[in-house]
Amino acid sequence: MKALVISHAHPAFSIGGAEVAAYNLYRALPGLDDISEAVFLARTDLPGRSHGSISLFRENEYLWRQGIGDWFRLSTENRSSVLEEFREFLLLVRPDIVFVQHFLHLGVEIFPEIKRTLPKCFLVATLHEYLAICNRNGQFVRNVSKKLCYEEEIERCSTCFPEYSAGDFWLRKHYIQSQFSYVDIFVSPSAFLMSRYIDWGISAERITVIENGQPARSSHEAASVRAGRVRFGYFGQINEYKGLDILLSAVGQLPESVREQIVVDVNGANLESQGEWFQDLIKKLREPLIEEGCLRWAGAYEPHEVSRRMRNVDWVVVPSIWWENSPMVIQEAFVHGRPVICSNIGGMAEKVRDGVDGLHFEVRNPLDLADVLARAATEEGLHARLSGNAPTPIGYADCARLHVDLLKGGFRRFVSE
Amino acid sequence: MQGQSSVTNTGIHGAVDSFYTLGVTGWAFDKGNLGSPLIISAFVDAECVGTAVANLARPDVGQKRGAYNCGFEILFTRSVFPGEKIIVRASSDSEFRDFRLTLISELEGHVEQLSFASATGWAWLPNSPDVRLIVIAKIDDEIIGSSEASGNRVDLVASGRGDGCYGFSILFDSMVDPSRVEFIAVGDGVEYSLNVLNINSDESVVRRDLDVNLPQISGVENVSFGGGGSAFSVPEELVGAELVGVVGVADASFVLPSEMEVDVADFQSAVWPCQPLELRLEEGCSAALAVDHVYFCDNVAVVSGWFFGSASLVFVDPLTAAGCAPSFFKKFKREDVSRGYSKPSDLVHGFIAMWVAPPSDKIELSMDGLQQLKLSIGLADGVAFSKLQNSEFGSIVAAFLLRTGGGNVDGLAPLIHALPNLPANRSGARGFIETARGVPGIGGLVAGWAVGEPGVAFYLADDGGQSQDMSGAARWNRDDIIQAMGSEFGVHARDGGVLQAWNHKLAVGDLIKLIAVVDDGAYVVASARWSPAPVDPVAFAQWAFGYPTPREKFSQRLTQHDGRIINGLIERAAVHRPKVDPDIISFGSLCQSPRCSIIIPLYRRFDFMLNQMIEFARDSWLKDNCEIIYIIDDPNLVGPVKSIAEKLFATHGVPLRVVWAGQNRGFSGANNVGASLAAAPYLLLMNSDVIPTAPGWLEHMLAALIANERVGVLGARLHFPNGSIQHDGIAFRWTPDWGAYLNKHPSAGLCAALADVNQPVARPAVTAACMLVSVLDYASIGGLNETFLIGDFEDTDLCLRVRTLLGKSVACLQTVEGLIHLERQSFSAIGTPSFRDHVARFNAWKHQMAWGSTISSLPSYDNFRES
Repeated sequence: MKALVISHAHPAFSIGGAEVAAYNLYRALPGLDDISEAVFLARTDLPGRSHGSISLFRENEYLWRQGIGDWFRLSTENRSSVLEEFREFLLLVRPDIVFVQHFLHLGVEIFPEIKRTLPKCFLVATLHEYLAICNRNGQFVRNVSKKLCYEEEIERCSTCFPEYSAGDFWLRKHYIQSQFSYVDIFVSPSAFLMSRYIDWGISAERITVIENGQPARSSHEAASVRAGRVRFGYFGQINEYKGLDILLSAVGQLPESVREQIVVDVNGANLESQGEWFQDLIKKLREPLIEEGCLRWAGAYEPHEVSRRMRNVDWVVVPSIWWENSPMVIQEAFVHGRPVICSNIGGMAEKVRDGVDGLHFEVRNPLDLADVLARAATEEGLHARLSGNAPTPIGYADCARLHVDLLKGGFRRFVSE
Repeated sequence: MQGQSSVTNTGIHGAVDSFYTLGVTGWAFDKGNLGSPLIISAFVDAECVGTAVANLARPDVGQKRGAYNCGFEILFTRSVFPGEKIIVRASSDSEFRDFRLTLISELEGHVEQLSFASATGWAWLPNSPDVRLIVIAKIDDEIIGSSEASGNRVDLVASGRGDGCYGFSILFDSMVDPSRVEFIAVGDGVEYSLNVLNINSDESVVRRDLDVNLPQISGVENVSFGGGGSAFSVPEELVGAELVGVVGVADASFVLPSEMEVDVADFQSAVWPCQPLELRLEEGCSAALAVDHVYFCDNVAVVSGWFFGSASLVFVDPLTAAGCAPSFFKKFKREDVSRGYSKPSDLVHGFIAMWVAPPSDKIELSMDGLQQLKLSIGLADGVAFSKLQNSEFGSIVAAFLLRTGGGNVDGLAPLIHALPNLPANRSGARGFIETARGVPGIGGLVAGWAVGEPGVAFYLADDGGQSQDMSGAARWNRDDIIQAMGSEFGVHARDGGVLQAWNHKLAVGDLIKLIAVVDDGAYVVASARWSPAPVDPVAFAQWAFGYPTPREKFSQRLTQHDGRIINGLIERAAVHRPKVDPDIISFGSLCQSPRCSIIIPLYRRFDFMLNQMIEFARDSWLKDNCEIIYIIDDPNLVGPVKSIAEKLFATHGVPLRVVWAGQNRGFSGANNVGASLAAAPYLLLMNSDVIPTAPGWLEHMLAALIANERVGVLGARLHFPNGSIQHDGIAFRWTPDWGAYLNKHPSAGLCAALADVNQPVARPAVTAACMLVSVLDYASIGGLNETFLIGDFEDTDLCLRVRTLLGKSVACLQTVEGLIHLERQSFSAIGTPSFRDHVARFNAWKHQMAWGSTISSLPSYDNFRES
């Protein structure tokens, strides 16, 4: 069988979790017995490539200059390119199975195009956030109040975006669902995200959960608490939804005696591209902590530096104020045997078992987080127990195996003949 | 020349016998000292123009009064001109008596024919028949021709005018505008102005009968107490409940009735024009009746004059002896007459009487209870209303014509042209024209403010004599007017804002006047010039609807004001719409013999196409049996729709046609264009925001329509996105606030009960959002009505026409599944909410005008379910 993996970006140019997962899937597929060849197609915005073109990047890897023309409908910018270049590419490659790891920057129109051009192929689409459901960048957060949203409903959506009527939201949903109807099986990296999509309208038979694959775990990476201060680590992007301000507030509210026993490493990037108010907030919160010596601003890191930085901490903190799906940092923490302290919602609460391999705190509540941090820093044997329970994330090969097995696992019956 | 005799009631008695430009004669004596003749002096103002001794033989006076040598004759040191006031003073050693006189004109005659090249007529001095006048024609003081009035005129001899040699004929130096020529007659050392009988601008020459003998000289006073032509100069004083002081110059205060020469005449009748009729008894003049002026225009007659001896007048048609009371009658004081006859002023009555469509062309006047004096008037002898221009009566007559709507524009035009402004010191009415915009041939709207005390009426009028009663003006309250006018008008300053339609001819730049009728006089309160209004009906409505008249009176406002204008503009736009061949692009091979043509207009938004085409592609029956026609009704969409249509065809493979008809035509126009291109025998009118969600709906509808011959229009049950009913047929509900039946969707928003009958259900009307009709029926009723503003009510209008013109029924198919209607997604793009509301009200008003009575016979909203 020939497989095609389509991604919204190529990790050579962008290192987000979804494109990394897509690329890992592409790399793992040829190792399976029943896959003879895999081709990777990634969207690009490289100005050197003409708009709409699909052209070779390196062996079996292609770049498609494409974009979104209508963010409301998640509709492609260049329809002609879907109907011409993409169709031609599909006919040339003729995959038996297609994995669309993300339709972002490509447009939902690729689904009917794949199925109309290659009616017999098996089409798998992975959902990375709530983009199809929520017009607010798929965050499922209320637009003005930034409160968590619990229900998709067109009139409610219209109150988030008054420039769009409830009817417009109906049209949006009708359109996206119409395009989704060509997908044989959806893959969600978390059960939480899957349930949201089922609520939205994807039938439960057409969606399943497969966690993103991770590199194999090396035994020496698991480490126990060392002498000295207890170290907590924050990893990833810094923006207002990732909750770094909650973490810093929590640390600030700890008793000084506890602060003297801990240190927080912030391994984060892109603060400088956030809004001024948010930058000011973070700076205001971190300054006294840095002076006190309980906060170290480690800054951005490259993917290959993750392991080293993970080994330098005892706990990984994921304080996001939105639902998340399946944060890569949680998987990485488990790979390194680090227990995780996280918000008690969504994909985070699902991936981290409270009191088993990590600790939950009430989302957006720095007081609660302070209590949890104090407990983690002071409770005897807690770290050892939780890190010992850290699960072993699925590897790349197994992940790819699960993807290909979708074809056999009863889902085949949904393939439109 | 005419004098009046007089005696004093003290020592000095006397009278003036004759008085002319060069001198005066009479008699005077001192009763207590007959042997000492009086000194007679004549003064013009302070200037003494002659002196004489009253010692000439007067046997006539001696026989009656015993003074035989009391006559006098003064030759003036200079000529006295008509209009000049002369005091003749008779003085003894101890006292004096003044005789106040004013010279009247003797001239009679007029210009009978006047063209651009010449003028002819006649003129003479009846008191100096031997004098031959020189007639001079002038324009702006420049002489353009002259002639001696000495031509022989047989007709003048026949009518008793001297030797008849008083005719003249003047050839002008050059071609002239006849209306600008003035004529002067010079003779006996005096200049007289000579009137032109009439000028009709449409003809170069006008003839009039020679026996029309009117007072010819203007600006010359008659000493006989106003009988004959009097020029007035005090219009301001004329208004008010009691008119006073009409005549300012004809002063005859020396006349004392108690010693008047007695000349008893029991019955007198005369034909106007004539001297005042007087009833004289031993003790003097006890009653008199005079007519000063008669004006006539079209069917309105105006008569003015004075009388005493009775409190009221009787008007009779002399042919039938039936009474013909005037439409307007008003009495006022005549101080001049009361002084002249030495009557108490409250016993002397000036009057003005007016008739609209008088029953006869002759009217006989007499006094109530005093039938001895009868004055007959031929109304047609009256002069044109243009003669009222500078008269104080002009304001009264204009007020009368405005109030009654009598007369024609020719009568009102000169009056409006010369109408005085309301004096700043006079209260009663204030107003201002802020905007006057119009479209020639259609009409105009005037907006501003006007406040008046109770009883004051406002009108619009122009110098062409067209007028508009403003009692029905749309009004609204304005805080600025209350602030500015509240102290003067109190509660009457409320609702000061006015909006008034002008349904007459207009030309941009012409004056339009706001006129207030205060008491009985008409005054200009404000004026403005017409400026152009938008000719596009929507633009006009956007402007006009901006005036905040009360919502609850909006339909009344439309009926009385802008509704007709907007309708006119809509019709005008239809007439002027350029004929454009539609630009049609076909994508894919169209169905060879389609069964149904789906017509979908696109306005403002086209993204619905993305959703619709997805569903059309899923409906195999539809793909095989229908043609899809998108009508672009918005120039901004032409490029994008053509582009997306190509992609949609490439994506879905469903053939479609995209039509651009050259301009925005509104919902109806777009559908009608689509219908004209349809190849199938049935039309499905479909809104772009109706999205099917399951196949089979149209096949189902078509089968139902074909199976029910009596059904002319078939609608479908439509749903909101949440599955509740959006449309299940339309019922009309009377809405008092709108003054109209409105289209209602019963059950809208409620859960859809499962339809139990798979048959069309009769409904008063159905929505055109999804409406199936045969091409034959659609064409035979002329398609959708294109005369609504922007669009609304066209669907019910069509249903009502199918009912009334074709005798077919309207029905809704409830078993159609999965049709979602995102109601008003495109209409919401139009204008501000307030403008949308006004447009809806305009269309409701229009719909009501056309269909109100038909709808009232249909099942009401309340028994919709049983219909």
